[in-house]
Amino acid sequence: MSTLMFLVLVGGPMALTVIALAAGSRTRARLRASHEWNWVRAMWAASLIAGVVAAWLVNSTLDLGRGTMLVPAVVGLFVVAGVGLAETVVRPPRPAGVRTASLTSRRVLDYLPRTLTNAVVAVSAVHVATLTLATSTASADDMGRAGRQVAAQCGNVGSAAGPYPGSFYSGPLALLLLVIALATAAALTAVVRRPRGFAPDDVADDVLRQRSATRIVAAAGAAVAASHAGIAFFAGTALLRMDCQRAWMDPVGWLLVASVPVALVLLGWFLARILTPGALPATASKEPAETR
Amino acid sequence: MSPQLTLDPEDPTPPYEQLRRQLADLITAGQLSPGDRLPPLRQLAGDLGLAVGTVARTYRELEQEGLLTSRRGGGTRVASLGAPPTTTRRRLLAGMTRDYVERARGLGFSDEEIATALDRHLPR
Repeated sequence: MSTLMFLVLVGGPMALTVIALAAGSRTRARLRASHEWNWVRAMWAASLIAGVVAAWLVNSTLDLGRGTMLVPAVVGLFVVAGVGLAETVVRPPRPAGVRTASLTSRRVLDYLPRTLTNAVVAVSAVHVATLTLATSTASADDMGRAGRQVAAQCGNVGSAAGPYPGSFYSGPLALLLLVIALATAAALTAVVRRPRGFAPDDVADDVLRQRSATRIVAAAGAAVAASHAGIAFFAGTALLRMDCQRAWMDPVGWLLVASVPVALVLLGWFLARILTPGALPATASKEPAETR
Repeated sequence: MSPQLTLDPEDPTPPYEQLRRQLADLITAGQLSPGDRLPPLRQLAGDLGLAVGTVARTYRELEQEGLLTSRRGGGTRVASLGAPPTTTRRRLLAGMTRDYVERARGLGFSDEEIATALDRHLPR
């Protein structure tokens, strides 16, 4: 498992980086916004395909539903990596001549879209809380595998349900979520450090940077929301299936099940925000792809 | 609007000197106040298409002149000693005027033409 996780976490993003660098060197030869935009979209498609392949590998390799639980996060990691690389590496050449620089320090916080960021932070907090709760309340299954099911005892009668996202599932998922968070932070830092000069003026340059940050935050949100929908569904239905429940299990089960459609709606919104900041330009211009 | 730095790749003056001169002028003229934080080396170098070492040399020289201070973790800021006393500002303006006059005279313009041109750029 560790070799596969290493391949997915390191090999996949490295392959995407190679594609992005190739795209970046190709765009440097031309200054057409539509051309660059095509490469950005190709980068997204490549990351999605690579993510699906990696998720399929993980799903077919890890047993007892562990791969299935990781699928949304694996695809999400690749989407974050692809969007991040497309926003930082695939850039047009800078025009020649006099260069200018503002003396204002740029900070990541200045470029984050407030509503979207709040939504991503909220869904991430709920997801982490869900994983923490599931990990702390899970038990070993009948084969002694720790953190695979939830169990309760009512007098002489015992009840158990699974799969339940205890440590058996949440361990690798937490690792993936950490990598997604690091990839998001790295991509946002790269966007903020990206040199000026790709837009006609500083205001347009800030708009480009905000749009890039929006796409990256939205990709991270999509990864977390997709993961939460799956985890909350399994955790919630496992709690509700119990014949013998502790007091907290029924309300928490319903809450988790209710959070699934909310996560799916948020997932749709996040995916839309990745796509909407950049409609196709009406005509090719010297301006960067995202000023269209 | 924050002050801007410009870099002309065609200018024979070395890039670090172009930056040093502009920053020194901005501090002397009071456009940058004591305590103002300058952008990180990487940001400025990236925006201007320079090596980080080139911008670092500019900052270092301005530190040696007492116009900037650097602190680990605190970034680079305009030094409090760099506050612009009126005489320093006047001296800067006098130097710029002298450069303008000398350059115009060198190109054969009369003093009257020089004054008229200056007057036209100062609408009242």
